[in-house]
Amino acid sequence: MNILDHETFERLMPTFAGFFRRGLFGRGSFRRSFRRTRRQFFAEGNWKESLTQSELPDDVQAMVRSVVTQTRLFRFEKYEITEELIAHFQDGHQRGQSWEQLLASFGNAAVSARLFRSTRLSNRPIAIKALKFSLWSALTLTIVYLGLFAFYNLARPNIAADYSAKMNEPIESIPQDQKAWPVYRDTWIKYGLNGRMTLYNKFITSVGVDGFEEYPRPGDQQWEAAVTSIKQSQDLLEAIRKGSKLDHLGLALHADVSRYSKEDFTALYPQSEYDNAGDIYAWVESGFGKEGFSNEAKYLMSRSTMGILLPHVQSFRGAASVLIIDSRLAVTQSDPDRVIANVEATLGFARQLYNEPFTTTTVIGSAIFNMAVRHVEEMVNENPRLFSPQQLERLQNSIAKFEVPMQRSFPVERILTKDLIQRIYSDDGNGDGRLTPVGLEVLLMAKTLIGNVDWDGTENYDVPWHQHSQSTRTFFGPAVMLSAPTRKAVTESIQHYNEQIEQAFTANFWDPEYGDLKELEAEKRDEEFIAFVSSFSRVRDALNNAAALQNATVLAIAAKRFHRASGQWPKTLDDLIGDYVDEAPIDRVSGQPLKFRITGDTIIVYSVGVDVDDDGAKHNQWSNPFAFDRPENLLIADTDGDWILWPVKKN
Amino acid sequence: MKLEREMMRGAGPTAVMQLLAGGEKYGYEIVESLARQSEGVFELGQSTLYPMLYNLEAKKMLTSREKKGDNGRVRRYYRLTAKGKKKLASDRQQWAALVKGMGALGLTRTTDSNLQSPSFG
Repeated sequence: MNILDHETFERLMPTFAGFFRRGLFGRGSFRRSFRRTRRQFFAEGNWKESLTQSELPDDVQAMVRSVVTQTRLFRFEKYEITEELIAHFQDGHQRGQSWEQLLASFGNAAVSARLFRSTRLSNRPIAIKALKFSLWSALTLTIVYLGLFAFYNLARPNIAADYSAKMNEPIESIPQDQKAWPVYRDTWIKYGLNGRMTLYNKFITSVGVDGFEEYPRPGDQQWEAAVTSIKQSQDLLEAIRKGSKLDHLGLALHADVSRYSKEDFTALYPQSEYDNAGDIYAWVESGFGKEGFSNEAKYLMSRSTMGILLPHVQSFRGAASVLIIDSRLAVTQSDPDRVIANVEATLGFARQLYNEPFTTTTVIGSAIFNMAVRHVEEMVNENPRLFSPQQLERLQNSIAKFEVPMQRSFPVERILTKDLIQRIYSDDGNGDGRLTPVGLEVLLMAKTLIGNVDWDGTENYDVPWHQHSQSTRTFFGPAVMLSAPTRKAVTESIQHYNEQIEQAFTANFWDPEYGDLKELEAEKRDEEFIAFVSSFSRVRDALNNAAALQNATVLAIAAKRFHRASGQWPKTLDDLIGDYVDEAPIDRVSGQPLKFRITGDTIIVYSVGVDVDDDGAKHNQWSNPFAFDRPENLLIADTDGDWILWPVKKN
Repeated sequence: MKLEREMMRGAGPTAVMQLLAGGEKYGYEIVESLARQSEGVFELGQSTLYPMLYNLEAKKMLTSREKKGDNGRVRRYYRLTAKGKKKLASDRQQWAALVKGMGALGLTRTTDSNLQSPSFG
């Protein structure tokens, strides 16, 4: 067929014209849709007005009105039916039927309306049906959500247990004369050792990359001033030595700081007035990160066991530093007994901190123990003839007999998590409950309190977008509640986690069961509804580090005693076992006896390090798997070398 | 004679389509024509006619348009579509077969001894 042929073109033209006249969407469908839209939303669809203007008799209009109203259809559909019925009655009347005849033959209005309605509904376009379904669904969901909203907001936490009191029960049971805190308190206040107001901070000459502070030595510029301070604070030193002989600190701790006596409060918060104890909460609450938490949530959080502050533990560092300076003075005065007393006092601090039930005090206790070891190392290495053989043995025994608590439980962490749970969840009286609105805030505050600051000081929130503000928390709270685990589920999850942690503490580094606590902690921390995860890995590392230094110190002093007695250094560990040590001190990394090497007239005690390869005391700081700042992704090559334990290497 | 409702349900749409096969008609015209041409058999309740028309239109058997009548008022005129014509042709065949079958059974005879009271004996 030649389209250009005139005859063909003439034959096809009507078809083309008809196509365009009908429109791309079928015969008049676009025009009809447009007209219906106008009738639905504009005055054009006012069917009542159209009926009134039809000039039909009142009873006919009433019939039509009744039918159309009962259809309960869309406005444009009512309009079309109205127009159809108006035309019907008018046509019928025009053809000679009376109004009464037409009404009689029309039928029942209700039946007619039902037929109109069912026909229209069943033949509505799918798009309309989908839209109607969506609207009904949205309405249903809204009603359901409003119901959930009411249900969610009815839930309140029930602070049924005083976990602060439970935590303090063991402390309260200690006899008063066995508590070290009353011995320390008044002299620490007097000499500014409380909190961060350490009198001796001004004597810090430097801080090593390992975090250990250096204090004046004989000949330093500040030495004379330091000596003067020491001589003027003998009551402080007496209190330190006396108090450190006791096993327990004996200070009951409170989140509600108004429960402290005035003396205790002054010792713990020297910057605050006792009558304005509320200032403490403002400071605590400022640590909760973002604004937008309710006053109720802040109150719950600041009064929880998580709100308990430990400002006094840093005072031990100050006290230990006082003892180091005094020991250096004692050396100049040839007073080894005082040096030994100072070392033992430092060990006493460490013991008291280990006996406190917190992970924080365990870590600081390890740091204090390390200070004691370095104290010993300095005294013994730099003053080889200061101590008699008996005094050396006493020093060695003080270190050897010190109990580094390698296997321990963490009752305070359990208490802390239970306390948070009762502030986050409701209580059905059977150990179960659901997430509460204020509890969601407490949860977020706990998570930001623990992980809201990076090492470089920037903020690092990991809060879901729908919980970032009070308004989003309020709106999305019911949805969060639906996805949140119950109180019972969270409790069981944390209990299982604690059991895993305590099990991990029973294994040694060289055991296959040692496990990666950091990974376990990270997984737990990532769980959205776990409020608080202690850094148990850091605690375990700190304890292992302390035990490693302990073993090395014992070996080093034993070797020095052997050298003093025989004029020679031991060739092997066997030379020391029996007379100088009961058994070979072990390497906390390999589980094998520690290594040592004699260089000139000094002994180097070392661990084979994380590569478990004896490199002959070739030092590599990352051979220590327990170093607190150890990078996570060290390559094997970077850990080639040994961990020098004695003397402690300064980097 | 008026049809019972169940019979009307099946026959009514076919009757309307047959009527529209003769050309475009508006609502009252269909009512009147149906009753007249069927000799009163298809006297549809007027309230049922329009829903039936809407249903047929939704099924694409009919199509409609608004048009000003000779009295100046806007009316909706209905006519068969191609699909409607096909359906009507099919229905006509079925009705023809039905009538033939009923006739063979004797159902289409109005006077028949079989319809009188049975005699016993």
